[in-house]
Amino acid sequence: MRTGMGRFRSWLARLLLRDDFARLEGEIEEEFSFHIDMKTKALMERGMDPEAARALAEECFGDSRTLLHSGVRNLSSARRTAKRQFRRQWLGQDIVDGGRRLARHPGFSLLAAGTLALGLSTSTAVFTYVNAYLQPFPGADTDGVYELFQSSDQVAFGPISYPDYLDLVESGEGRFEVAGVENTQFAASARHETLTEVVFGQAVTGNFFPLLDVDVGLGRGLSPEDDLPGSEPAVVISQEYWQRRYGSDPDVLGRTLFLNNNPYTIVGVASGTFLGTVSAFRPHVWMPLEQFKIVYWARSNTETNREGWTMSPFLRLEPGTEHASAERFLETFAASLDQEAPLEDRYRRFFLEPATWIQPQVRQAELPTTRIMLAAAAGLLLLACANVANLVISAGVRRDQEMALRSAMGASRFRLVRQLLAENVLLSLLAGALALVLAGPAANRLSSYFARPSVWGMDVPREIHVDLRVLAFGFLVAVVSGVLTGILPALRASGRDPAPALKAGGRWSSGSGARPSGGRWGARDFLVSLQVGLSVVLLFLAALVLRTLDAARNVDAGFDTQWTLASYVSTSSMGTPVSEREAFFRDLIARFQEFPWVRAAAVAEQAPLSGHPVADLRAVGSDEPIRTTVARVVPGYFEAMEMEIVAGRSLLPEDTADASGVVVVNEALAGRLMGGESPVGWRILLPGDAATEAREYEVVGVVRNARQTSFPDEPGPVAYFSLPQGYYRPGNAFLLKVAGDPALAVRRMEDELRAVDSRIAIVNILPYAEVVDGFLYPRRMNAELFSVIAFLGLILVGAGVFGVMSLMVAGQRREIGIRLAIGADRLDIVRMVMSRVAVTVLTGLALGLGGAYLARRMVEALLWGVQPTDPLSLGAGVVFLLTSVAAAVALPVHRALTVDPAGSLQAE
Amino acid sequence: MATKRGDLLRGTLEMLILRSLEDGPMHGYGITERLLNVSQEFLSVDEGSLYPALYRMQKRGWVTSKWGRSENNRKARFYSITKTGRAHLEKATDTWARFSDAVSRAMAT
Repeated sequence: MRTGMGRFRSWLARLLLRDDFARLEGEIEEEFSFHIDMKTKALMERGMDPEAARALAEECFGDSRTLLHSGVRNLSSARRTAKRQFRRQWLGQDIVDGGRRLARHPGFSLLAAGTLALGLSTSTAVFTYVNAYLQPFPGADTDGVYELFQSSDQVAFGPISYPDYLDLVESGEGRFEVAGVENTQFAASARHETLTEVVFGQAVTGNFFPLLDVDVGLGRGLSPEDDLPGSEPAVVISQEYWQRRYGSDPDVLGRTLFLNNNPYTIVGVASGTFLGTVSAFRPHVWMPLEQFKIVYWARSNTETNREGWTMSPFLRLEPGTEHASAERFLETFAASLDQEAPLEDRYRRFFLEPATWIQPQVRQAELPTTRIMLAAAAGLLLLACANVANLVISAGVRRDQEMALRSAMGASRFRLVRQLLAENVLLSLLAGALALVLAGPAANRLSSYFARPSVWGMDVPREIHVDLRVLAFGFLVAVVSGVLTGILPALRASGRDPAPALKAGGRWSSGSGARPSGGRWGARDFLVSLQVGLSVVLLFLAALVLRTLDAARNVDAGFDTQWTLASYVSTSSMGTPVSEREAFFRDLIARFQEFPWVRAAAVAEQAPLSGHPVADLRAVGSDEPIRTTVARVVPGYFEAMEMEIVAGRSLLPEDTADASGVVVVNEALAGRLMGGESPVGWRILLPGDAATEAREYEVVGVVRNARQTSFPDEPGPVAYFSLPQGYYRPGNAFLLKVAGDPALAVRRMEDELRAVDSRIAIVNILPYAEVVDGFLYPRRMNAELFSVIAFLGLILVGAGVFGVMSLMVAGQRREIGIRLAIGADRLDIVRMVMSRVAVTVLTGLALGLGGAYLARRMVEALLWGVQPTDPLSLGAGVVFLLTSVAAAVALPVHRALTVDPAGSLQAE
Repeated sequence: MATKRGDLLRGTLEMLILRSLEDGPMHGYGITERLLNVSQEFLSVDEGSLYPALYRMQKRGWVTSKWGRSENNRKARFYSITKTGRAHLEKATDTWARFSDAVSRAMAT
């Protein structure tokens, strides 16, 4: 019977959709009423009373006739829509119709699109950030170019030794061509007529520019001829340096650039697009490897040392060589090298990676962070989807009638779902377009975090661009979230029996809240619970990263960071011989200590909170090597930096080159050396390298731990040698403790240094507060990103709770009215309204706590000084959430309390 | 023609309608009345099936319809059988006979 009736309906529906329906409608109506009249008459003849007879006769047509009437008379516009749907069964039409419906409800559409845009823009921004990992370095032809790495147990992506590089070039002939970049990012003192400065550079093999077809703006790139022994020293400079130092003078070609007092001829200027092969390092100059060797390899065995980590090879595969066969070749190549020239402690592992600008080791190091960033963005998107799904369901209540009619007219469930989905996908594409507009600025904001101040002044913004992949991602995510937001409401709307909605006529459209009035816990409540749960997790994450930032910020560096300035001063361009360097720096300290604005001055080989050399120290008489950071500081350094000597003595002026070798160790090294006992008086052995002999030193003191190479991590073992007893480099860190605001002393310090000698090169002068701040930048980025995500999530949850509560209160007006009329307490009403939201929120909280528990492992990588189970963060998340819920609930509850009993009853 | 059971059963209503129209043009209500009478109240045709069937048969060209006057002088739509309709009826009757024969034999054993 039901199916029979269903077939009848769909038959009618098809008729309704015919173009000549106006004529057919009359005919069908006439035919049916004739039938009913005849039947009524027949029934009456059998003795039935007229009314019953007519009713029975009419019943034969079931609600199909009602459908005919209401469908034709009351809902002609819906009929037209439905007609279009049936006539053109293609998705495009669904979308056009969806657009029309959205345009008819601009308020709803804007709200939903805006909500989705919040979620989508965050995901797109984070994806843009992640996408940057895959981008090749610009300004060169990197198509089919791979970078070769070798790995060991300690190093995942390392360069290879120079002898191995030469063998690679030779054996790879016919399969690929190789160009090399020397791994050192060198700093050189560049002397100009009126000023001397530090420039950064990288050495490349002669075929690097031609093989990678590097864009050159002016002159020429370096050529293989430049890279022959005995060639004229030539360099290419970056466009940025050309503009800054040479005022974009085209006559720069052929000019001489003095680097560390050696003359080089400028043969070309790289185009503005080529910024080097490593995203975080933008060289000012490129130098042929042969020239680099003369200066930097002279005192080392790099040229012959198979153990070295020296060259980054870039491979361009010959036509006919596939990536896989190149990898296979590298395996046999590594094996044959291991036969001919075995390494001390390992076998060679060579492999290829696409030539990306951001190095794979950086990508790998940041992987835990990016993973949780993506997860958080996905969480916010899901939250936004749940919110919009709720909006769609609420709006759907108003459209029940339209849906019911379409369903009655035989539209299949699939088709109805498709229609609703098309509408939502359109909505989310709109939101996606908005998100892509926002993705650019958001990506810029993220990239700016990488341009942090550092002692070396070389940290540059990471280039993060919106490209085709990002567009594709934005589109895909928009479509997926459109389907997500649509699927639940669509299934819900299409699954219901159309009859009640049709019979109720137009009344539903006004009483939008009528349906959810009962105590039944429905899809909408579930969606709100889901939102609450996601929001709790996001708030928890945000609280954790904020507490991390706070914990890191409050770490004591162990030396004075408030009044101290760091700089790096080089004598390279002055040609000061090694024997006179100590005197130069001693005089520099003495000269600055004269100034009333200087409280103390000190020199160290490396500035605190910058990279230091490491060595495997041993206590004399022990075989256990201890990986130790090697610092060389002048006597007076600990006093100037306010570092406390906890045992023994400090370094003294007597600890000169002629005196016996002494060392002050930090507490961490003391603990490793003697395990708790004071190591003062013991001797340690510093192994030699290419430049120095192994030498014994006496431990004369123990100094309190201070952050030496990075902040805020606990320092490892550090040994402080007396700089006068060690090798004086041409350049050293020059540290000043000043009396006034360090930021104001920067200029003064620079002027005074230039006054000593204009050929002094200065890298950067930075107050230590800024240096410390620089180390906090990744955490600051996390804090900002997660706070924004959590805040948006909180707003969405508030809106979601508000929407559901408002609808519920509106739906319960009658019940509230009756209760008030029979004398219910106001408190009872509040209890009644709140009990519903309490169940929803508690369910959400349970979901959230579960989610937080699952997320705790993942989030560990972001944390510092805070446990991933931090109860305070979790508590803060819950409190924030409940506050938001309370705010969202306030207005609906107020409305419930001000229901006029008489009025609400009349309204029904 | 394939004699799937569903086809046959659905075809039955059409066959009965065609058979009724062989006696002359008839309106929808008349068809239900006739079927009730000849089957001694056994075959009650659901209106929800009758009109779609008539519409379908019209589309296939088995019946035509035109407006006329009923016995009590009301405007009514009269359906009449066409040549194709007759041909179909013949085929359907034959199929039905075989089906009915088979069922009877199956039930008798």
